[in-house]
Amino acid sequence: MKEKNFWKWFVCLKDMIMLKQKNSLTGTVLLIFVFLIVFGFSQQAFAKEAEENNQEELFEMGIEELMEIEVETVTTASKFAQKVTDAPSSVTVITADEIRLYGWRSLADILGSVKGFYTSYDRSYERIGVRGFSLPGDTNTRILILVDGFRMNENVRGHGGIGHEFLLDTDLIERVEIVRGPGSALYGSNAVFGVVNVITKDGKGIDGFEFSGDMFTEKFKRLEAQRGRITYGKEFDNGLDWLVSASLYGRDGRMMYYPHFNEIDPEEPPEPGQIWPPDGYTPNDDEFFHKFFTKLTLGEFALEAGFSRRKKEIPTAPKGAVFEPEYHQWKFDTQAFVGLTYEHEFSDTSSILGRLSYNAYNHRRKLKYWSPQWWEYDDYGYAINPSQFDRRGTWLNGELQFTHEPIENHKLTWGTEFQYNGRQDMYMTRRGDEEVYENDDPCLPIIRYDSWMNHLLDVQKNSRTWGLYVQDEWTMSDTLALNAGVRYDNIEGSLARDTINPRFALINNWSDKTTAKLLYGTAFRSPTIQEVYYEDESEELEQTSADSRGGLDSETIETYEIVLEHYFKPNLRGSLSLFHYKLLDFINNEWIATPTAQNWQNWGMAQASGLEAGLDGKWENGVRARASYSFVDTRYREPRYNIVDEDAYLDEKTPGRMPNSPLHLGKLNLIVPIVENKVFAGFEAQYNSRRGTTWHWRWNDEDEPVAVKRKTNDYLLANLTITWLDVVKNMDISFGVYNLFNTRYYHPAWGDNELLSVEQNGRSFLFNLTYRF
Amino acid sequence: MKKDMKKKKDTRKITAILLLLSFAAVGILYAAEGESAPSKEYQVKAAFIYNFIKFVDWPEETVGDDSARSITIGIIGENPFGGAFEAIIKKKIHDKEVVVKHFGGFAKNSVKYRQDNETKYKYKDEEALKACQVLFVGPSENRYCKEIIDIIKDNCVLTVGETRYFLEDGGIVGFVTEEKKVRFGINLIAAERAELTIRSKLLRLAKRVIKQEERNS
Repeated sequence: MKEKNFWKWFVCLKDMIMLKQKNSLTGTVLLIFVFLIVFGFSQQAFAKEAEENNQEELFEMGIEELMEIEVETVTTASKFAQKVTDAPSSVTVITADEIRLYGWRSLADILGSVKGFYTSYDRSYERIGVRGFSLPGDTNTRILILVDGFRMNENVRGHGGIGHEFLLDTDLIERVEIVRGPGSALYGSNAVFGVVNVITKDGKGIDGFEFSGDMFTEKFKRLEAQRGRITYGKEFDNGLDWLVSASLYGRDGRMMYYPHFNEIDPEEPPEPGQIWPPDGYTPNDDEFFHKFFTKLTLGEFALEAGFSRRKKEIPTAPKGAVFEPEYHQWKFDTQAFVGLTYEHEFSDTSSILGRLSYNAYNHRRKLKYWSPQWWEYDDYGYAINPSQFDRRGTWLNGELQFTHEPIENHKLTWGTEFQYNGRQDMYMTRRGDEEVYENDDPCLPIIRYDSWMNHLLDVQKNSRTWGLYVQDEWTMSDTLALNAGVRYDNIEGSLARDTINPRFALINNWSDKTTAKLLYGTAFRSPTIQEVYYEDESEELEQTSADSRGGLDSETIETYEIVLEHYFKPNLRGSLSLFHYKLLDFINNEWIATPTAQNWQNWGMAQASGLEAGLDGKWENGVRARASYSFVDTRYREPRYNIVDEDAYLDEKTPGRMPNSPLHLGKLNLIVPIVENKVFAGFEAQYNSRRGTTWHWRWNDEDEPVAVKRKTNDYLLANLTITWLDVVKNMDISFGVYNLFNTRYYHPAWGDNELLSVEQNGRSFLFNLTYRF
Repeated sequence: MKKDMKKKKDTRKITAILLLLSFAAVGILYAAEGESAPSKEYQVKAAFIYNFIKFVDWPEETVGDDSARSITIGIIGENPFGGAFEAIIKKKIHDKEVVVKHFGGFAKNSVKYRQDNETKYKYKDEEALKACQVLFVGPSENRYCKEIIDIIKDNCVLTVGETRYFLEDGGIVGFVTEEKKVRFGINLIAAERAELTIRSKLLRLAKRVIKQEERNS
């Protein structure tokens, strides 16, 4: 009888959480998860008893014995990695343990779990959204991505890769420091909404060889993706620390359905074997990457180098390209990087830091278009015009930073940074079609199409920027500190004018446990080469560059924020922040006119107001939890269109919410040890409310063009990873289920897609094995 | 009708999500209620402190009436040891009982004043602090290490801390964690000033010893 009741209760709970999805597998997984939690918490009681006995034993030991005990296990560190309450902004730190135990496989996965952040994937790039801002067409240009302090945003379109095109394998990340709010007062351009600094591991931590292999599948019938990594790390007797790692990844895309491209007339179903018209299904979602990274540390010097090449097949037919499974459209991202760091401490309070790096970034996009020369068809029976778009950037960056304490209670940081963008090139070619008249008299109707490679775009630029900054951390009293900084940036070339960006943070430690911060800051982003010079002279598009229209201004942001942080317990921190962001002159390319248009212009003002609340805790039995909620309301001048004779005119701009800006975000992350220091369960749940798409052309039932805009569904996404350390000596395995509830969810697509939204992956499984020797 | 259904479904969804989040919050708060057990690091450090007492001799005159019978371990700031010391409270070292005393955080319990153009601090329980035989500076007091040491440096107190520059600040024994193992350093100059005799065995095991010569060179 009792069991029956329990079962009823369970089914109720399951129905409630599963949002009425009838699926026995998810139910089972959920049941397992509930048990894991119950088990984990009940362990706490046993653990405490064991500890007391343990303590008796420790007191019996001599010093020599005590010195041999290892005290840092994976989860026992109950102190936070750093006291984040002292930082002059809202900061989150993600550690290597968390990355492993939650089964995160890209930087996008990591950032997506963080308070106030969300990602969007259009099956070509992962885009990051911060506090309600994720503008259409934005390639993470408004967030600064750093690797060990080196700038990773490339210099042609400001792209900061967070997907698989990111320089590093996630396994090489020691920790990720995420700083919300403007960072231009220290970092210059791009640090509009935040700074993400990725710190790499040392060879010392690896100590030997490490092999890791992943298998990823949607259904167990087919191996969808696999990844291999080999890493060697060691600290030699002379103090030299060496880490070297190589990774390889390949993914055979899964069949996805894009209803927009389904051109089948339901009244005339296709016969078997018929390939035209397309039915909206395509498996063209392959992805490959290889990465290489090495780091040498000797005393005060660190030299690192990385190479990454990622090749992604684009299934969404961007920029009006062909949607046909026979034709593969690719994007290639290749980057190489060398960096040198020098750090020297003169005394406890004064130190110097120097960085010098050289980066190269190539992007290549290969698309295929319909050709009007229908008679020049290929093996598949289609006439196709290929096009190729290249972005090539190289840059040399140097930074020097000096910290000292000239007066008591004033910690000053002086710094200068320069960047020489040696190459900022864009090339675009497309096999074009031109009408060639065989007769001199154009009135005669004998017309032949001739085709050759049209050089649509040939931009070759270089530029120089430099900046000077100073920051003062002034400890006014025991409880009050002021952190003020200002940076001057000089940008050469037609890109933008000089800017000065200040930042103030007043930090008040009310008590040992409570900290209040008042923050004000501005930041800027200079327009990228692509935004200024991109144009498309092909007949059907006729886009002019912003340069020819008078250029673009830098966009700036002004932010106001109040942060309250409170340690309920030494191991449990709560935080609350209220903020108001004002983005001025932001550069937007939200146009309806053609799906392929990239007409960037300074749009005016966008605003965001919201609050974020978070709880962050760690317990001695190894349970770690993070929960957060954020609410952001964004406002900007939303375009309205008037369609006359199949031409869209910008009618007016009226206040509206920004596209791709969810109102509510909820996150829950939980690590529960099932067997102490051996088996862990990592669970994460993310709730995203609805996001608006941008305006798109559609035809209504009467075959008239209309401008439409939709909202994607809200969704609850959950992932569960079980990690078993030291299955046999030096071998770890983990098994992850991504999208546990098989939620069907969509992300808004970007301006260059005809699609309104793109479906995301359903439930998938990942198996990982790591072996060290 | 259909719209109604959809609305209903939406409400249910939101309820479900809110429930889930509130469960999470309640769970976290509930788990936080229990007194946090000491981490292994502090269990080991407690055992270290117990050993230090064995290898340190306090001057005779301070072993007066009250302290003749007991050795007081003071912990200033938040207590990271939990109940780790409970096991030795019953035990005796050199025929003396061990007493553990907790002191409030320095920032809250001290008054700042200026004397001879120098900023000085007056701690509320200063006398009790000076009467301790061992004083552990807890992790919450890392910012005030120097100030705390300044107050008690002329008394016979074995100061134990764990900040990076604890010895430079004038502390006597400083813990450091190296390759996941606990090590310690000793500042002999400070120990001499506090009139403490540290036995050679402890000095031999120390990772780093600050002596008079070192300062001169």
